[in-house]
Amino acid sequence: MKNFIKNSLALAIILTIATSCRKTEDLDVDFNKYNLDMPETNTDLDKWLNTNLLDPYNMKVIYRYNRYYYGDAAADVAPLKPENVRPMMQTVSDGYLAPYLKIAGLDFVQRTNPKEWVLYGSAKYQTDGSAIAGTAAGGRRVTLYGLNSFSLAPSFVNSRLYVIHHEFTHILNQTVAIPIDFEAISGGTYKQPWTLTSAATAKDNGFLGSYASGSPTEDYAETTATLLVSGQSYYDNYANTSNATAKSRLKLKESNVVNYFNTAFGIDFRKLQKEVQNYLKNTIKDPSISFGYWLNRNLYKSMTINLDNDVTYSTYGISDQFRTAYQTSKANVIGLSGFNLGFGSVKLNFTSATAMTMDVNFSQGTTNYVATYNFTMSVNDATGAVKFTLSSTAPTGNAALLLTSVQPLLTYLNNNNFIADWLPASYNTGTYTNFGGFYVSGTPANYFYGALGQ
Amino acid sequence: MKRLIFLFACLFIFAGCKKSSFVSKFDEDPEVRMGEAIAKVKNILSSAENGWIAITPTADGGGYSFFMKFDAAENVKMYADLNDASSTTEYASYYRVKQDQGVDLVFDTFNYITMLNDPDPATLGGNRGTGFKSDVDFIYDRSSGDSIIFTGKRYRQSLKMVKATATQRAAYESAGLKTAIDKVKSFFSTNKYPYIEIVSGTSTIKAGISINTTNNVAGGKRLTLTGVLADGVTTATASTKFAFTLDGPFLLGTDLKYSSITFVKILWKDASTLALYDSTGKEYIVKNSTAPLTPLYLLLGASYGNVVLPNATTYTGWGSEYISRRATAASAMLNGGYALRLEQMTYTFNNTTKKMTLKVNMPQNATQYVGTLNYTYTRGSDGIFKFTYVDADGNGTLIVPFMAALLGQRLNVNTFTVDYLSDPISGGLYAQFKSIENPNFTFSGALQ
Repeated sequence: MKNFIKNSLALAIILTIATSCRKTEDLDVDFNKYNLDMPETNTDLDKWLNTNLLDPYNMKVIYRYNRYYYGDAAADVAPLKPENVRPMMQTVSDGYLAPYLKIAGLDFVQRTNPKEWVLYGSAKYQTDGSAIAGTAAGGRRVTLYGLNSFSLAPSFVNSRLYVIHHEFTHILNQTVAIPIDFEAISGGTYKQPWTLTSAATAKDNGFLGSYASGSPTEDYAETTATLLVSGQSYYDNYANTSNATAKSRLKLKESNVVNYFNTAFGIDFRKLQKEVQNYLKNTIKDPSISFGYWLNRNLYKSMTINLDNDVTYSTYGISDQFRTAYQTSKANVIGLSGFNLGFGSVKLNFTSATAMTMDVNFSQGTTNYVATYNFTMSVNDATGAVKFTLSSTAPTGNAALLLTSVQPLLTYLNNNNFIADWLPASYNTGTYTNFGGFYVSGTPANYFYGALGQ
Repeated sequence: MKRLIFLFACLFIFAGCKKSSFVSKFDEDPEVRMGEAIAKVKNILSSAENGWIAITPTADGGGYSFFMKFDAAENVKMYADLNDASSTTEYASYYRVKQDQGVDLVFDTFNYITMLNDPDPATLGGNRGTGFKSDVDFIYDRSSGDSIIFTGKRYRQSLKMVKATATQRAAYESAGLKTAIDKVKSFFSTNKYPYIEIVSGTSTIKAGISINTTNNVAGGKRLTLTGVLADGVTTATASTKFAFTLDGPFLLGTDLKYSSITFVKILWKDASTLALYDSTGKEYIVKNSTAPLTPLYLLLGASYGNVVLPNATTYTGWGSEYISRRATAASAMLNGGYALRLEQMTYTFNNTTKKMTLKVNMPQNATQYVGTLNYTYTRGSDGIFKFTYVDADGNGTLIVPFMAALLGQRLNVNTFTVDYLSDPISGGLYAQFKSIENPNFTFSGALQ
């Protein structure tokens, strides 16, 4: 039996080898006749997409429904309204491409920008009840869902840009891996499915939400998107309202992201952040990222103004009106007869959403003194309008002593109607929330600003 | 045996070795034949100069109809019977025909037909995540003469298209679909209790017709027959999906089987007469009754599940004794130490299990609480109800003593008849219970 098997096996092998050697003619397949699914139209929309996205950045926008791009047999996703394609992609262009082009350059955008942008009309609902707003795949495709409800309302644009920056972070992470020290920051607390982690638990563990607590990659994308789109104030406020451990973790994650952009791609993250924020502030008019909004929530507790000892003022300037009020007050204090005083700085303390005190720091010899003046404050979230009103109660002590001297500053603050804003406008030497200020409503050239404290 | 195995092995090996050039069973390669099929379907669709009347059922919802015009540049324009806007406003989008598992017609940008697929309930009221369970991709099935038939890729619902005539096209393009829909709605709002007569054995039975023209997933776009069979006590019900066409409601499928008759069509016999037709072509004129056909006691717990008594002190159909006893109960609840308010009461019947659940809304300040009381009941052949209290949940137990005037002294001990009550003002249909022992103890609520 063994021999029989051996023999027949040998025969079979020989036969197989012999026949394997036989060659037939070349494979003759004409791919011209293959039925490719590449719908082509040449409407104004298509021309606009080609001119503005495909030609310069090799960015193909796929807006005609193809179920295989979302690839989930268990989901129903609705097709898109074509009239929403252009405004959506304009938003992508302004709120995502333009900041990267300006800060990271054309070469970076051409190298890293996802090549396929697939758009769908509805969200992609999961069987667990959650709905997906966007996905990124393979470093080359971004899929955006739920665009039939497109609008230029701040809430919609903010949420979509958030998704785009989130997904693009995945793309970057698929190009240069996440720094290995990142995962250790919240080490041991990542857990799937994320839907079972409450927002409060996630926050206690130093995550920006339940979703971020699912995996380090999502955590990284959420950190980046929150810093870029929700803004630094939101991030700081979230961290400040967490427990001490969570706050330190959030701050570590923030610096990790900033370093990653710098070392992996040579991008100044702070400048990029300011560009995105400027788009949301100036074009979309999103009130929730404004200085006034966060002043009204008492995130910022103080503003320090020292015209002569802070390089920021010599770099970015200050309005003549404020300089005059400040320098006149300063000269008056120094010249106050019989006291021989020195002038330190001015500090506005935002003690609550409705109260402000102005501290004038001065000295006599080596002893420092403070004169404090009380104001009420009102802030309008939507417009950023701020009104300071000096208390009618007569000041006492140091404040009474300097009252006449610092009257120009008190009058400047009391008599003007201000708009709160991130000032100086051209500030680009650090995080855009380092400085904030006020300009006179209707007269942007009349303004002042100072270093913010939380 | 060994030799045999050896022989077969050799045969297989040699047979396996035989090579010959591939010769297709068909004239052309697969991709060429598929290309031809795609071109054919696209050509059929776009060459119909007056467009197509398309009808599809949805897997979860009712039926829907469309009037579609395709052109060779992948544009499609349509009307649909979803709502007033879709039946009067043409909407343009793209389509394409591509290779899938067969030839695939894709409505690849938003249009009326994709609203049925839309998983966002805000679009047309479909279920979250699945919409009405309808498709965006439809696989070509067959075509002949003036018709072409597709099958939904995922939910397997047929999409049947018939070429429209120039007259039909003109009608669709001048809001004719809305006119046709309104005519049907108007017929059923004028004829409140429509029915047909069916000869069953030696007797003639009546089957009431109800039509739901909404986009409700569970009940919308359905036509239902309900009535009592020849024995006088057995209720029967049959329902089918329909879509509106210029000719009226178009019944889908063969679900409408009632008293062993399959109804397949409903058409206007003349300007103001509707008629149903069965599978043999027999005609059943839709007539109108002055009152509901089927005694309510037969339908309670079957076609109608709930009787909802509103939060009120008086109401159409509430007898004087009920009003005063309800006030007594409400006062007892309010002053019983918990400051509970007696509000809406819902009686839920189940005719199979013969159980009745009474849910009482009993808010305390701004917080809503609901007390649940469980009953069983018997229903005599004469339609007389007798309720027996079983138990209650925590909230329910709390209010049982407070509600003694209504429950312990009446509902739990009396016997009741039930009948329809039509609100003279709103025209709404209510159920009214009457105590046999205490004729002034009557109460009513909306039928749901």
